[in-house]
Order: sequence, then C-alpha cells, then structure tokens
Amino acid sequence: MADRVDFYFRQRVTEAELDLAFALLEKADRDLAADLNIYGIVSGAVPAPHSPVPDLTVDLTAPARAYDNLGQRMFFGTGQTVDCAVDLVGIPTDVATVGNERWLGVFLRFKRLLSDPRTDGNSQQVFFRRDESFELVVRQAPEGLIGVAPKPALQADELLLCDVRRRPGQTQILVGDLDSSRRQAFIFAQGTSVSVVSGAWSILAPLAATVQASLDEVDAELRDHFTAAARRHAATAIDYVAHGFVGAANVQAALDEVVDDLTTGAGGSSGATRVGVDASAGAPNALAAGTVKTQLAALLGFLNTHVSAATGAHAASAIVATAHNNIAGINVQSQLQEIVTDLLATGASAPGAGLVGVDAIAGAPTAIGAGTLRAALVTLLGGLNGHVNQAAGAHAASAVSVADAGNNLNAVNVETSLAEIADALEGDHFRGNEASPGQHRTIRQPALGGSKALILDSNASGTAPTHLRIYADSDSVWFTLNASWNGAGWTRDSTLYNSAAFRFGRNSLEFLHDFNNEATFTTWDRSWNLPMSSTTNSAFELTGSVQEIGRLGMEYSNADTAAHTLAGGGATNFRNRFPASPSSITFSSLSQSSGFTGNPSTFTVDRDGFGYFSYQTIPALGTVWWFGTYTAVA
Amino acid sequence: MSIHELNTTDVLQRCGKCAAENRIKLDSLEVGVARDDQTDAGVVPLPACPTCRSTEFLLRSPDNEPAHPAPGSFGHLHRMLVDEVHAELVKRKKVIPLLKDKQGAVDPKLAKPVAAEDVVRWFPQGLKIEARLSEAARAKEPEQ
Repeated sequence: MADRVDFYFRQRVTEAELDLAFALLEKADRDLAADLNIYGIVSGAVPAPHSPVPDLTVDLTAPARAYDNLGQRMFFGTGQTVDCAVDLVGIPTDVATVGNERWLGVFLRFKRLLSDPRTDGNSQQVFFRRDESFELVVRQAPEGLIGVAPKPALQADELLLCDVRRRPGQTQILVGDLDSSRRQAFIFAQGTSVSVVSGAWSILAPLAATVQASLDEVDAELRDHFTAAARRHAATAIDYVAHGFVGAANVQAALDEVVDDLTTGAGGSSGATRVGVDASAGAPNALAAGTVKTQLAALLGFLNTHVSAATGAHAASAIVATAHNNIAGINVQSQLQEIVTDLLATGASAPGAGLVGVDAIAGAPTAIGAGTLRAALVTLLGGLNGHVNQAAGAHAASAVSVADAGNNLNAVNVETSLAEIADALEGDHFRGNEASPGQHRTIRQPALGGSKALILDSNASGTAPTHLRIYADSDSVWFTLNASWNGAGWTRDSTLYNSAAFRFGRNSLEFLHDFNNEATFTTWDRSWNLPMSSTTNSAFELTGSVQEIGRLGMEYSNADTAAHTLAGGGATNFRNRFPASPSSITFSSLSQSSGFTGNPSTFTVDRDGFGYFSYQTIPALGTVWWFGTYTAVA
Repeated sequence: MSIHELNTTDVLQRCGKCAAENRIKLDSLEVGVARDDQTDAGVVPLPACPTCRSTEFLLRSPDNEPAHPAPGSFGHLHRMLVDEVHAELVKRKKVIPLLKDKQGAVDPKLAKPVAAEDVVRWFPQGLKIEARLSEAARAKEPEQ
C-alpha cells in the first residue's frame, strides 16, 4: 500500500497537495517493484541489423517492456531504430586505427513525456500530462586492439539492450557485430527471497530452503555430472536401441556384447567378421572392401603365396644388405655379383682364392697353416711339385694299392699285382727279362663257352672288309670276314661290303659268301661245300643261286659217198655239283661249220651235267662241227 | 638266258648273251625233245634268239627234287616260272607228238605245276620276276 493523505471537509487543496497524493501513490508502486527487486527487460527490444539494408543503425523489436532499478516502467509499441554512428552527445563512433575495434552500448532509459500544455494561475505554461516514456541512449567505450577492447560500463538508471562492435571503415552493422551477452534481462525476484520445500527430495540437499540455494545445489549436481567428478550415470541406466549385431537394451550390456563379439574367435563368427573395412588399392595385390576377416584371409593368402614361392619371390636387388668387409654393395643382387666377381678374380693382386679362408690342416711331411685358400694352394702345389719331381723312390710299389673294381686280381697292391700279372703272362708269353720279350709262346685256350666261341678277333687293317674273326663250335672252325656271330646269326661290321667265310670241319670244307649286304643274316647266299666224308667227294657242292658258263662242242663226218643224216652228241659235267637241276640251259655258238644247222639240243639234264645231241644232214664225205658255250641257271 | 614273265599268251625271254628281250608266243612252243625213239618230257626248247641265234632250253624240275636251297633267289624264282610254263603247255596239250597217246591225249602228270600258295607268296604281282640288279651287280662292293 501507499502512504496516504487525508483531505478533509472544506479544505482548499493546493497543487502541491494534489501532486503529493499522486507522488505517494507512484512511490508505493515503485517501492513495491524495488522491494521485489523487479527490474530488467521483460520482453521485446531485441536488436537486429537494420532491415532491409543493413547500415550503421540497429533495429529493436516491439512491443517492448522493461523496468529500471527504480521500478520505473518503460514501454514502446512500435519498432525503434537506433543510430550507432554517433553517441548520445553526437560524437562519431568510428574506429580510426586499423587493427582496433570499439564497443558501443545501446541503453534504454526512463523518461517522462510532457503533453497537454496549459496556463496556470501565474500565467505560466505547464503540461497537464506527464506520461511514462523512454529514450534510447548510445554510449561508446574507447577503441582498443581487436579482442581486448573494453565495453561501456553499465549505468545504474539505464538498462543495457546489447553491445555493438564497430570496426575500421565499417558501413554496416551485421549480426556478428551484435553481442547480447550483457543484456540486462528481466529479474522477477531474488532467489534468496523465495523459499522452497525440500523435504521430499531424494537427490538435492540445498544448504538453505531457498530457490537460490536449491539452484546452487542443482548446479553443483550438474557440474559434478557433466564434469564426471561425481553423479555419473551407470551404463546400465542408459538405454540403447538394438542395432546391427548388438541386441542389448542398455549401454552396459551393449558394450559387453560389443567387446564379447569383437574378441571372440569362434569359427565363422569371430570378431574380425564384424569389423568392416574399405577397399585398399595396391599392386600386385589389392584388397576388396569387406570385413577385417576377409581382408586378413586375403592377406594371409598373399603372404603364404609369397612365402611359398619357390622362385621369383623377390628380386635380389630389392633385398637390402649392409656393406661388409670388401663387399661394398647395398643389396643382395649387387653383393652376390660382387662376391662372384671377386671369387672369379685371377689377378695376382687380389685373386678369388685370396678371399677364402681355410683353417690349419695338420699333416706330414706337408701341413697347411691357417690362412687363405690361395696360401693353402701354394703350399699344396709346392708339396706336389716336390713329390712329382722326385727322380726315384717317390713310392714303394707295395705302398700303392689297387682298387680292382673288376675283381681281376688276387693282389691288393701294385707290387704284388705286377708279380701276379707277370706270373699269368709268362705261361704263354716270354717275360720282359727273357729273349723275344712279350712274344707268344703256344697259344692255349680253355673252353670259352657259347654256341660259337670267338678265338680271334683281328681288325689289323682297320677296315670292315678284312675284319677277321675265328670261331669254333662243336664241329668246325669258322674264319669270317666282315661278319661276327651274335649268338643266333651273323652280324655285318659294315653293310657296305659283302661277307665271306670258310668253315673247316672234320668231314667237310666249305666256302661261304653273302652278298645281300643286310645288317644280319642266318644263312649264307652261296656256299661251296667239299663233302670230304661223303662217298661222292670229288667236287664242291654249291648252294644258292648259281649260273655257270662252260664250253661244249662236237664235230663229226659222213664217210659215205652219199649224203646222210647223222647224229652227233656228247655230255658235259658242270664244274661243281649244282644245288638242284638247272632250270635253263642255253647254247650259244662260237664257231660252226656252214653245213651245221641250228644249235645242239640238250637231253637228260641233272645237277652234275647234261647231255647234248644234234642231227645234221651231211653231204657225202662231208664234215660238220659246232663249238660253243653253255649257260646253266639253277 | 632266262625267262622273266609268263602271261596267257606269251613268255618274256631276256637273252643272256646279247641282252635282247624276246616275247615268244606260248602257242609256238612245245614240251619235249625227241632223240630217236627217246623223249625228254622235261625240256621246253625255245626258238633261237633273233639277234644272236643262241638257243635256250627250259628244264622243268625233276619229280623228286628237294626244296630249293636258296628260297627267294633268282634261281628259285626262275625254277618256279619254268615249271609254270611247262605246266601251261601241257595243259594246252602243246607237246611233241611222241608225248601224246594214240588218241592224241596228253598225260597231265607230265606237268609239275607250282603250288597255288607258292605262286601267291613268291609272285604277288603276277608271274614275273621283278627287274632288279642282277646278283653279280648286287655283289659288287664299293671299291669294285
């Protein structure tokens, strides 16, 4: 309530008394606001860049309501535009220095709006209406470096609507230039003045049962929560919506499930199958997009293929190596080449053998000391040359063993072997310390076995045609040229030449000839066999195809004085017995008388010969003859 | 001299003395040689060579002759060809009169034809001896 004045009956009221009554009422109104500590901008007066085209003014929204610290009410119903180019006293707010800025404060201040002028009893003009109003005030602070320039101080009887930033050469105030962080918003009442009932609270325990203390407690709880100093959520208390392979309903279970699913090594569903990965380009191998498991499998395959590669796994030039001793190369390829080159070197200054070490090798009379291979070779060469150059007595023959791989000797060293060989030789040869050394005594041979035992094989001429061999079987001794016995037949030394032989048996002597020049044969093409044991044994018997040319002839006379047909004839032996009766006999005349007609005829032909005859008409006391040849084919 | 081919009409003869080839009609030949009252039925006289006048007598193999000692040789093939000529003439009754009986018949036993399988084996191209190097030529060695 307000202080009161009590006007009384027939009181003559003065201007001051009436003004007092209104002043008391107004004071009570403002005391109430002051007592409740109500002040600030209730609504409206929100700053924004000037519309439609920003300039150096700021627009304020309407309607706006506010109370200053004295409880005076300010209101405007239409939008206001504040000129920020100058301050309340008309001083420009420009920023003169580049790199500086200046802050302005736009304030709302209470003001009376006087109206309805009248003339009082003193003939003075007064305003009957003194309405509540406002005014907008722009205050500027000194310019300063960007970021550190000060802002205008707050005013006790004014309300700060916003701060405005000015920049050098600025022609427009934009949203970024408006700062409402210090705006004096409406305060209805002090929290400490409002009590709360906290008896049923389970979390908050304010120091006092006031709104301020409760809010302080809420702030402390939230600070602890947000800074994680205390009051943190249990993960089980945070809901989780099932997603992907995680089916849990809260964060704790979801994390457990994620950990379990990622750490499991179960076949076909291991953690790696649940982690995706994008494709990775590369050459010669690339990885397709998929899961860690598929890429691990691919990588394992690449690696195993590489590790298992028998050849071509790496170029030796791609393998780094460290230079060492005399090897200066820095990769395997160059080092190997250098090693090969060095080992092949034959120069006296740095031979390859000089790079190979050898440990000491004991021995007597020669030993090799530890050193290089070249030094060892020098030692060996010296020892060997010294040994070889020994004119005599280098070795005792008994100290030289014989391997006798063919099992030909009873002896086991050179001395006894020579003695054994000499003993065997002297049976059929003259010894070296005898006359005619080395020449044969009687040649004696034991049974050699085989269907035809080879007695002699001589190719003294060096040519196949006269390659002589002597064989013996159970009946005969064979002398062959250009033919050897292979156990089942005869084999030519050369198919360019005929083969020949003679077989000397106890009952027959046979000459053999083969002219077909086949590589092997079992029967000879021709043979001339003298059957010494046969009752008919005066001539060779031929086998094979035979053609013989011989002579025959006849001459006879007619002793009568009249002409007669007379017969003449004879018989001819073949030089050898044919293998069969001839199939053809041809008579060819060499000389015949003029009276001899035709040729003789043949008769009674067999393998030993043939008969021939001819009938001729011979004149009285005449003579005819025919001499010619026969050719027999069998 | 020798023969090298037999067909249904003639025989090819190659003269060994002058190397002339003579084709002789089968129908001009006869089997047999007569000497007085004796005959030799194994002989086939051929006409004298027109060039050198040599006379060849083909001789059929004896009835009891063993197998040829050099099968496949020229001598063996010639033997079989002569036996075939002889048999063909007997078959055609081309024999000398003394080898015929009173009725003019010819004893087929005069012939000694070659067995059919031997003909197939040794004369696959027909009854002829293929021209080839003579044995004498074949026997020549490189330096001869």
